[in-house]
Amino acid sequence: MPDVEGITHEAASLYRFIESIERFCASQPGFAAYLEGSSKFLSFIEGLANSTKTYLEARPKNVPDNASDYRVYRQELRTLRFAWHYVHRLVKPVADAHTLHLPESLIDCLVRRLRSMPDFAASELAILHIRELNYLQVIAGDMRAKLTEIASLVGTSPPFPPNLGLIGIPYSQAKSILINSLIAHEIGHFVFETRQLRDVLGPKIKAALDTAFKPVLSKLQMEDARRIPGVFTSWSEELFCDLFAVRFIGPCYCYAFIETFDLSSHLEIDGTIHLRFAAPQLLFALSHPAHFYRIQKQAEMLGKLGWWAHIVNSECATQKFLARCEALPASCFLFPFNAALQKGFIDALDLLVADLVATVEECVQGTDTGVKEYSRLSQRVRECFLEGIVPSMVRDPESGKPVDAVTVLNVAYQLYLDNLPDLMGRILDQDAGSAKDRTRWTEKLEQWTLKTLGDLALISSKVGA
Amino acid sequence: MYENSDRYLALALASRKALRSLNDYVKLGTVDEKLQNIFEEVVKSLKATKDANNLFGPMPTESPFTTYEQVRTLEEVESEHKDKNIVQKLSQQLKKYDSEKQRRDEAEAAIEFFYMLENRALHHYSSQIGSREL
Repeated sequence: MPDVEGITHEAASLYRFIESIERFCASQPGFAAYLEGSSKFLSFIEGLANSTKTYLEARPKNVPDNASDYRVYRQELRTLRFAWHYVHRLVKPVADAHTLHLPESLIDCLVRRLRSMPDFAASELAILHIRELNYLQVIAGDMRAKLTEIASLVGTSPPFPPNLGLIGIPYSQAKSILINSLIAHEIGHFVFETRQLRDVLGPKIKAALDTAFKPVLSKLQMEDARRIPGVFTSWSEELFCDLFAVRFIGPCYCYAFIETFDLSSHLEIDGTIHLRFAAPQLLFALSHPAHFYRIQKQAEMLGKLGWWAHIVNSECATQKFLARCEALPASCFLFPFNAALQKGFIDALDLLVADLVATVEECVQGTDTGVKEYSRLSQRVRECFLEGIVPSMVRDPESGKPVDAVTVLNVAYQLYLDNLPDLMGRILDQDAGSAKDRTRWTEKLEQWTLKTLGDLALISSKVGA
Repeated sequence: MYENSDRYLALALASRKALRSLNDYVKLGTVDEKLQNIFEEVVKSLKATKDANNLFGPMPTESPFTTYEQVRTLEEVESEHKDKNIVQKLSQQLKKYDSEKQRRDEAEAAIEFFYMLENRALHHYSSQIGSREL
């Protein structure tokens, strides 16, 4: 005998749960605005909630009366409930990330740069706030696939907005423009998912693993062999996103990465890296390559792109750390598997990194690296910042075009690393040795940067109009 | 927020999609392309785990049947399924019958397989979510 009452109760319970989530999607009059991508995301969830509620309303009327169908039927609600647990994790962080709590101008300039890439002209980003002080998490294609599955399960739901990516940033970092250069890595994940690069790179990863591990096959345990493809694919995606970020916005990404994890503190008194003491940083995690390895590949990418020549004279610890990592021997890195497999991993990574660089270039083709403009305009932009002037009106003397956001971001970060005492030295009673005073002038620099990016967006839209 | 537990949810949702299509097959006699794709993906993954020449097993792709967690769950369900020829059955196209009874018999093993797969995936998902958040 089907338990219609029990099924009705379960449907009502889920109905109520969904309503409680839906409330966070509704626009609140007079409240702060959202990025267009975030608004679209919240509207989609609102539509999905309505469809799911309609589905739940009808559900108890269609209870099957044979044992097999009944069992299958009852389990559907459990799947739907867990799917809404997943939605629950997304909604509040997006609702919290309204434009008052976002570096809007920075995100705007990054989205415009993304849209200049082939296949990404219509891209939009929704932003969510995450608790962890970590940008290196992503919700992109998997999220899209799951939400689409939920929508198809409950019937008539509006489709998930095409070209929409979802990026998490730490809730506290809305004003930290320089550190938010890390968003470029998250955009890399969005590109990776959108271009379905897991499928594209899969055969190359497989070939690299087969070749590299052939000499050590006898030492490979079955359980390790089964884990390695997934782990290696995760490493490949993270490395792709790092390389993409460097290609997308230049050295400021590397600087933000090093600063977030305080990696330059591993430099010894003589400015070297002591491999024994730095050992934890040389160990790959199951989800991510070792920090030092990532920096090494970022430094190599800076060299390939021509950035290195423009930062090599910097005296800051961050630049020194980049140079030290670049020189680390491949054999120093450690892997979370049997030590006998170490060479296999190094060889497989060596085989793959060239493919990743080529794939990044394929994704961004046609997008300027920004290096040439940086070489022409960085000095003028730096002078403006040092005088406390917003450099929005700096123009390329050759093309007459306004300075690009990539130049502004990189000059600002380089000045922050190299010249903050010079800036403060021009101001009465400011002590470059004081963390408090330095913080104040870092914030000033970030405000000028943000203002410049906002101005450039206006100039760009005016030119576009 | 991008976690291994999400892979179990993707597996559960894909299994449910298969169950919906199988229900349509039994009730209406229709076989949709999505169902055949799911069958093919499941078979491909399970065969890759048994291929002596493919030590690494299936490579993770966009398919929800290819990551380590997903393949392990597939194997668990395969080993517990009463029909030891389930892979072979999923390799074949569903036959077109006029009677619902015949279609039900034809789909029975697949329905039970995807029911168990969904069930197991939900169990793993809730175990991971529960251990972290409750």
